[in-house]
Amino acid sequence: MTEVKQYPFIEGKNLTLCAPNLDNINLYASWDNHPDARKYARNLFPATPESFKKFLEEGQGRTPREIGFEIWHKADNKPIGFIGFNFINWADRMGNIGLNIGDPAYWRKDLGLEATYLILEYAFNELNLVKITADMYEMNAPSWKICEKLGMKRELVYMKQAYVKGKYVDSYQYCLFKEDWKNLRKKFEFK
Amino acid sequence: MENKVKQTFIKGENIELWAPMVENVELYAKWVNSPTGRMYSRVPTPQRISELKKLLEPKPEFLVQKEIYLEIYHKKDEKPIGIVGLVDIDWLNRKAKISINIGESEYWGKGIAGEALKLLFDYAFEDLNLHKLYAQIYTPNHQLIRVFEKLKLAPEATLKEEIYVDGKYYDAEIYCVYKKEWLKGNN
Repeated sequence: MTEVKQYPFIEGKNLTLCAPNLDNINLYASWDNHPDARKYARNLFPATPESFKKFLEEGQGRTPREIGFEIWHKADNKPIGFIGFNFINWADRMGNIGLNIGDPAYWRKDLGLEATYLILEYAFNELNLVKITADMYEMNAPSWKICEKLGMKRELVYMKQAYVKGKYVDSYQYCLFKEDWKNLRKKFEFK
Repeated sequence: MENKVKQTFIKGENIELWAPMVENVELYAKWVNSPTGRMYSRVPTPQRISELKKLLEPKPEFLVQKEIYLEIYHKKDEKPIGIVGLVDIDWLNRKAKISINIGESEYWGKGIAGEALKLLFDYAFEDLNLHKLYAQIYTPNHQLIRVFEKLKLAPEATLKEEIYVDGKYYDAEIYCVYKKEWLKGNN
């Protein structure tokens, strides 16, 4: 493997969030395709490097609808996942975030928590948003536990929203408001 | 003009703001190219109909529009008389530049611009959730400066010798209006 370059954009304690890199599209696709990871996100269809290439090549200007970051592990010096906004509604000042620690070797180490903390800081302090939402399925306990640790509220339950392994499961929507984050953020030391 | 479908987007007292229509593009071309009108709105090069049509084409991302134009429709006379809009919309910083052109000069000095801007400001602050609007006008444009002052816009900055008009440099004034002050003044 050739040397992988990082383009740091946000500096955390154990992680940096980096601008996505066209050289890594194979890696990005492999994270979405990983059997253990994709069962949580429910990626039903194979992801191709070309789809990431297309996404990265379509410039969206200074107020894009979608923003993605590569999650870079500082100590191990390599990218381990992806985090970003699935969509941003600039008029209502809302964003919906998505996370994938694509390499299961890095699960259960609070790295998803740190990456989400960093994206919330970015959302409120730099993008000037006031409400952040996140959606996940009920079996995706690692994700909704991150939301609860950060102080996000489960504001919606979509009942029997997805068909997973022979049965219907609920989907949750968590949310967080800028005015609540001012206090909640003090608990963490990721910067 | 019979069987015309109304495209009313915002209702006012003497005017309405309508969605712009491609069938009126020749009218828009007349307004932006008019020697007196373009002097104030600073249109130094001729505007072709094909270019103006492009402005009206549907945008792929309607939530992140960079500019919004509305036709000023005179209710009593039942015809479009100008264009008002927001350009350079910056959604992150929540600001936009004001643009106005009363294309039909017989409607000048009748309070139309003031009413159109008032409707535009309500829309920008109440619907679009913007924080600040600004206009850049060059100092001899006294009519528009008076309209701005009536609407309680404040001059915020002067850009020295910013604009070259008719053989000479003029200063430009930046006038601003903020959401909190506008909504307070109207409620």
